[in-house]
Amino acid sequence: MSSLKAIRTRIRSVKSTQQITRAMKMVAAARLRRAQEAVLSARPYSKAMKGVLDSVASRAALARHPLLQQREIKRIEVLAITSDRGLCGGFNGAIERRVRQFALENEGRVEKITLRTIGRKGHDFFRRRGREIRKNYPGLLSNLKFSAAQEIARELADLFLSGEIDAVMLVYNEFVSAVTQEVRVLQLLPIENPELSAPAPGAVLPVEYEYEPDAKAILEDLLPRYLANNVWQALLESLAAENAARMTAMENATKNAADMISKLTLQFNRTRQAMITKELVEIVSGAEALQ
Amino acid sequence: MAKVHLEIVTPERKVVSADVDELRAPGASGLFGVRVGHAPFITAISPGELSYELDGQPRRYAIGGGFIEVSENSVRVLADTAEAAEEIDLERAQRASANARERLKGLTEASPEFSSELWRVRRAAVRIQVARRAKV
Repeated sequence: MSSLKAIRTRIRSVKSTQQITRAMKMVAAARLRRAQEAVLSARPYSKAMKGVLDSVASRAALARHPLLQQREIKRIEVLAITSDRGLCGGFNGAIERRVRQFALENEGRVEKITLRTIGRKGHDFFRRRGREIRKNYPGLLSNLKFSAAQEIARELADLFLSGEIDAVMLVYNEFVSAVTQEVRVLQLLPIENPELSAPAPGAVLPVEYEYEPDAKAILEDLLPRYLANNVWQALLESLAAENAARMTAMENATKNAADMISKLTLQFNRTRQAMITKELVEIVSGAEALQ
Repeated sequence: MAKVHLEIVTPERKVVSADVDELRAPGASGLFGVRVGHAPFITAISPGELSYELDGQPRRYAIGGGFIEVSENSVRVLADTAEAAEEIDLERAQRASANARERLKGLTEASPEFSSELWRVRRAAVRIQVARRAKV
């Protein structure tokens, strides 16, 4: 049986760990609130943009825009969004697993799958595995800006247009609620032409708009923005999901620490009681021996 | 009188959601006005001032880049940026304008940054204009 002193030290150490996890949980909760607000306020724009895109792109004559071109897919670029920091449960692991699964499923069918990463955790993980990382975007998550999303979207569009890659997939955690994150795989490029997917039966036909200056110019302006916005939305989702995951993880850690403390306290009390009993027995039997 | 539902959204947030009688916005081919029953159309935004009245008060916004979607009784503005006139810091806008102009001088039309710098100059000019007009 461990000595009283050892148990006491142990309790103290678990308590200070608990203090840290509790503080981290609170920080994550505050960040989550902000990130959640950002996601929710960005959603109307995404939705509105999708609506405009659908109505513009459904004009058959325009479906030939290069960014909408489906071609035989030989090279896929995967953009994986993870976090810079750990201690957020299965958040990064889920992305890493999904990317590996995607690679396994597709490696036989296509010539090459290349990778670019956002977030230090994903970058380190894939580098350790010996996967080639075409590009990493360090420091982007700590100060999220729309211009960064625009930059990434432009790079990817250029690669796509030059024919270097034939498709771009986005792998990220979607923020479902404060307790659930879901890994999403989104095809960023080529932009899936809404006209090609048959409209749902009974769907209201889009209003015939007039365009100024003309539909082609609008589409050309719209598509890059649409891409940038998809990247932006994914980044916001991921950031909110990360903080939600960290909050849950730290909450559990705090609870586990509390369990551990109560177990250790019980053990401490038992040990102390055992020692007292032992001493008493010794005294009593000593006294009896004298009689 | 029936009102037009106006919504201004940017990638970062929803800026405005209001019912208005009439609004004026800068389209690709010039300033246009919208009232209820306007023919549906979609236009690119050229940087400029969007204005309307709410509760008798004029509201002005400096908007830059994006689209405006007009349907029968609603207007959706998808702007890259939208700033209310009261939010604009005139001094900062003037500094930004001066900086952008300075950079533009060092560029030729052929250089890749030219168009984005030109864009910046135009946007700064719009912001200054909108902020000034709101003060009068």
